[in-house]
This record gives sequence, C-alpha cells and structure tokens, in this order.
Amino acid sequence: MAKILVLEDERAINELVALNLSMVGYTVAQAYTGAEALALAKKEPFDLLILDVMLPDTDGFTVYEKLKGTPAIFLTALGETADKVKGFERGADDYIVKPFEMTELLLRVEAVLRRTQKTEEHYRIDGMDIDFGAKTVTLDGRPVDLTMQEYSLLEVLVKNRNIALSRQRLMKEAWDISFMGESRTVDVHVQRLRKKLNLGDHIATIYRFGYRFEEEP
Amino acid sequence: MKLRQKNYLISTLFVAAVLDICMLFLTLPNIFTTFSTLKTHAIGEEKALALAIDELFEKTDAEKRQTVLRGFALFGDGDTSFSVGIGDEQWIGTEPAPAALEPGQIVWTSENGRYALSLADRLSDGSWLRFRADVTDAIRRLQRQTYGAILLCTALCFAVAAALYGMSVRINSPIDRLAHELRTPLTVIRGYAELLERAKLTPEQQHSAASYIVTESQRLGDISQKLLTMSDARDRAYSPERLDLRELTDHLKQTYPTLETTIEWEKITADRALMLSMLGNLIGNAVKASPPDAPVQLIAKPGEITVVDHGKGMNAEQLAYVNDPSRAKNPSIRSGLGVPLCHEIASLHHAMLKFTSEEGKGTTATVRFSR
Repeated sequence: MAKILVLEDERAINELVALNLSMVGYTVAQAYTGAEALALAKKEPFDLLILDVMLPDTDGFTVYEKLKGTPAIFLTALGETADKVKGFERGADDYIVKPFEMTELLLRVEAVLRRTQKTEEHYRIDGMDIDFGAKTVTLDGRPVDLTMQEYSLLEVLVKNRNIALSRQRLMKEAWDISFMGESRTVDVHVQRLRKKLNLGDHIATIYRFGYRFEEEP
Repeated sequence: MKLRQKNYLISTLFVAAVLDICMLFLTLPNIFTTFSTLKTHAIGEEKALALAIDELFEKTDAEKRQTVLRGFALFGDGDTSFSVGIGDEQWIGTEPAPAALEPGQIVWTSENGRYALSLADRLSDGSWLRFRADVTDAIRRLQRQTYGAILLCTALCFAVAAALYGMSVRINSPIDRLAHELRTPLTVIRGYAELLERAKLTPEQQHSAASYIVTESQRLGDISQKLLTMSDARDRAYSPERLDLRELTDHLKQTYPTLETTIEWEKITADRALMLSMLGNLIGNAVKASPPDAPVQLIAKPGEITVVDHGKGMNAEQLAYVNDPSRAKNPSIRSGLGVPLCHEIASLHHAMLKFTSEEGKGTTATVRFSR
C-alpha cells in the first residue's frame, strides 16, 4: 500500500488527514515543519506528499521542489488563483482548498496514485480477493460473477473503507450518476454484493445515511 | 487612504504579472505545434532526401536511412537547412562539428544570430551518424509569435489592472485575512465531525476528535470576538473615559497569571474595552512567546506602556510584519488578527505601537501616547 507523507503545521489538521488516510489503509508519516519532512523523506521514499502551502519555516512549494519527482497534493487555505497557478506551474499534481471534505481528499489521493501507478493491486479480506487491475473478484479462490455496477460499487466502498459513504456519494463515485433522485438502487446492489461475496458483516448500513465497508465488523 | 491606494496598485500589478505568466504558458503549445509542422513538412521532402542519402552512402543501408530520416523529421523544414555526417569526425556540410556529442543527445547552439540543432546516433556497425540542422528561420518565426502574444497579453492585463484599480477592488484587507483565518478551524471542525459521523472510531479517537472540535470552536469564537472589536474600533465612535491603569492591569492578571506590573502612570483617558483588548493581545502574544511560567512585564510610565517578554523573539521578517501588517509580503507569518487590531486601537487613541525584538532574547512592545 502506498506510503504518504503529510506535512502540515496545524496539529489538528495533520492528525485529521493522517487518521483518514491510515483508516483506508495507507501508510502515513507526519511532519510539522519543512525540515522534518525533508529529514523523513531522506530516510525513506514516499509515493505521495500532502503539503500545506504555508509553513512556519518554509512553504510547501519549496519542499516540493526539494523532493522533486514525488507527486504532491497541496493543501491551501488561500482560494486565490495566484497560488493555484504557482502550484501547477511547478508541477503540482493536485490541490485542495480548505475547508475540504475528507472523502474529497481521499478521492484525490486515489486519483493521483492511480495516475502514478502506485495504487494497490489487490485487496484481500477473509476469503475475498479483489484484483483492481483486472476488475475481478474471487471468493475462496473461485471467481465471482459481478456486474460492472456491482464491481464499481464494491471498489468505491473498499477504497474508502472504514468511512461511511452516503448513497448519493456512492452513486456519484461508482456510477457517475449525480442526480438526487432514487438512491434505493444502491440498496439493491449492496444486497446483491453482500449475498454474492458473503459480506454481510463487512458492509455496514449506516442508518439514514449510507454504507460503510468495515474491516473489523 | 494613500496606503490603501498603494495596495491596490501593487495587487493589480501582481495580477498583471500572474496573467502574463499564464499567457506565456498558453503560448508554449504554439512552439510545439511549430515543431510538429516542421515534422509534417519533412515528409514531403522524404523522397528527395532518400535519393540524396543513397548517393551519400553508395549502397543503400536501410538502417542508416531510417536514422537519417528520423533526424530529418525532427529538424527538416522548408526554411531549415541541415547537414549529415557519418564516421568519427567527418561532417558533410560547411558547419564545424560540435566537439563532444553523446549518442541520442540533442545539442542546441546559437552563434552569430544563427541557431542550430545537432544530434548524434550510433549505428549497428559501431560508426557514428551526426546531423546538424540550421533552424534559424524557424526559431525567429517562433520568437515573433511568442513576443507578439506576450505583448498583447501585457496590454490586456494592464487594461484589466486599470479597470480593477478604478473599481477599487480591495485585496488583502483585514476581511480577507479574517476569511483565511476562519478556514483552519472550519476544516478541523468539519473533518472531525465527518469522522465522528461516518467512521468507526475507538473511544480514544472519539475523544480526541471531540476535543479538537471544542478547541477549534473556541478559536472561531476568538476570531468572531476580534472581528467585533475590530469593527468597533473602526466604525463606532469610541468612548474614552478616565481609566485607572492599576485596575485595568489587575483585571488582566486574572487571565494572565504570569503578568508582573510596574505602574508609574496611573490615570489614562481611553476606551476601556478597546484598551483591555489591545493590552490583552500584547500580553497574550508575550505569554505565548515565553517559556511556560516565565514572567511577562508590563511597565507604565507617563505617556508610554511597554510589554516585555524574554521569550523566543522574532526574526527580521516577522518584526517587519508586526510593525506594519499592511505590508505583509510573506503570508506564512501567521500572526492572525491580533496585531493588526492592536495597531487599529493604538491609532484610535493617537498612539503609536512599535515592536523591538531579538531572536532568542525576547520582544518589547511599546505603545507611545502622543498626549
């Protein structure tokens, strides 16, 4: 699983980002100053940097330049265009403006890692094995026949595991449907997934909200 | 007002510069297009070139021909001339060969106003193949296009800047700073609330999430308080009264137990709420900069109040900022709204606020009253 370095001087935000990332299975290192981040990066390479733009000792762009080659997502409190341009000009992979939604950040992390091909290739739990490359699922070694909709839904749930996703969010991310209409379709597909993959324990229903894939039910 | 106008001018010029950079990047694809045009032109001349190469190599060698064609496809064009050489140092053509050329390396040279690209490749028999293409005309054309685009954009930017200036768009005002200040607590509160709502957390994690929400809500409260005081200092006619500094500082000691006072100036005419806010801010900053339990001094002499700490001090950049927050260049100096607010309150009382500081030794804030 990808290794991610979070550089943010606000302890509360740093912890928040780190907690969310580790919850979905990433390995996370935390730094509060530019110097700390550079020291950590010297010891081990990272697959992705999450950098705050404004830091007490330097700025996120400088750290990014020094760690050239590692993809980065910038966190910025400034909604100002100039800063975005500055980020992209120097080759940032993405940026996100505070205040941001955590699921939004996770999706962007996933997208950048997919672009740089650092995403996980398999996910295994109990007897189930998802091959993200081939988009196939096996249960106890036997292939399971899933429709494309079912597979997409499972992938979104697993990649955001331990975090509840609303029905609307699931429809948007799994099937790219963003209208606010009948979201009960999600329920039908979740029922099928639970049945086909014996996931009754792992896909939890969150009352009046949506679903959560739980590693430890 | 003068200062504010200067701010507009600086920010509009800044916008112009940023737009300029954007446009430069927009013209970059043009350059690539031109290179691919060079490539297309080359295909038409492929036949003539193949004949020339046949003559050159006596007998046709498929691989050599391919390499030459590849090179030509890169550089060839109606208004470029190129030369091909084979062997170690031999160049066919009039231009001298560059001294050292690695296989696959493209060398860019410009001399006497002429531009050339050189490329070397190693063939299967171990011999070297070199090209040199004169691309002067192609480059001139590119330069004309790029400069033209930049000139046009600069003109556009200045038009926009002038319009903005005319409209007196406020950039970098205390309100902007406030909006920025709000983002961190908002991100934290929203993020941890989302976690509590959607994630399965351990009791410890739940507790820490909840306490982050509480702390950051307090911060929101502080910001709102500061904003209110600031708008008071701005808009409301302030109500000065005869104040006893001793009573005022005793009140502050309840919030800041490490405060020590030397009062040689007792009666002052000032707005009580604003005075408390300013002194509270200065003392609060001093306490924050000091090691825990280290004393902070407040000394009141006729016409002057100083707050002294022996904490970590400030560097030159931070010092310049706190002495004139309107000229903040580096946004990473986060002093928030406290210091700008203190300046507002000081000027309302016809006083000057000045900081002196030495890194590692401490900071002194002086409020000097003119009457």
